Amino acid sequence: MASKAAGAVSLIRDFAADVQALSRLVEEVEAFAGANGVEPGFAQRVSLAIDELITNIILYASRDGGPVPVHLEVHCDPAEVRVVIEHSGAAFDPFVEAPVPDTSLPLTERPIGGLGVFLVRSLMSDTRYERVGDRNRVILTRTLDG
Amino acid sequence: MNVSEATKDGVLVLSPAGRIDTRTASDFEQAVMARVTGPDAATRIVMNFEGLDYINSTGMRVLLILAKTLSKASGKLVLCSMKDHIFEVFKISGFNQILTITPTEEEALSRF
Repeated sequence: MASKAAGAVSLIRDFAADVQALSRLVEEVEAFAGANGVEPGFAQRVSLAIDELITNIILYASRDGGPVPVHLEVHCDPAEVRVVIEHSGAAFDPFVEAPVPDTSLPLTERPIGGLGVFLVRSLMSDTRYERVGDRNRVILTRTLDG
Repeated sequence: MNVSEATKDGVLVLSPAGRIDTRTASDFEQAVMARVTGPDAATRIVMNFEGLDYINSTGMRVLLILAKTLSKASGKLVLCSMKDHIFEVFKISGFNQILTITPTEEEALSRF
């Protein structure tokens, strides 16, 4: 579903997040952004950021091992791409609670994992978290001017 | 995602193609780690990323495990032919400091 409103084009998806659905969705977001004038480099950054955050939801927010219902919005306009990701569950602000990796450590001392949220921060212009009722909402913005 | 392999000048060349994401990272991990364990374990590996379109942190985790495994075995891992958008993510992560990355496979093989 793509809709036009106030100069923005939006992709809105409600889906049961598992690794198959996520894999398809990430490719869909990249194609959607590309089809709406977002340069490939920016489209890839946005789709990777979405991939990392929903991967964490799948790995850590699944209570009984089943897919987690996730709401995703991707809004493209000529100046920026804005992403909203929502899911219900225990409050978790990834931008506060995920440890920041030390990317200067040598190979033998680098811990395995923990890169996902760091990549999201690095790839996006702005990252925000809100707790809305019983839901976690993350808002990502990627400006398209460089 | 699939991983093809070849041996060149005594170096194992692994070439993953397609997308390494949260769905395919475990297949990638199994394919790669099978080549560095057991009696026929390889210790000299080039990972050619020419056919790789996408990798997320779950795939990068596998590369870190592989690099650590080879380092402990006094072996060596060299990555090559990485697309620009993938190299950007490796730079952000500091992987360009801890892994050897070359522009071409020929150059990668010359590092052994």
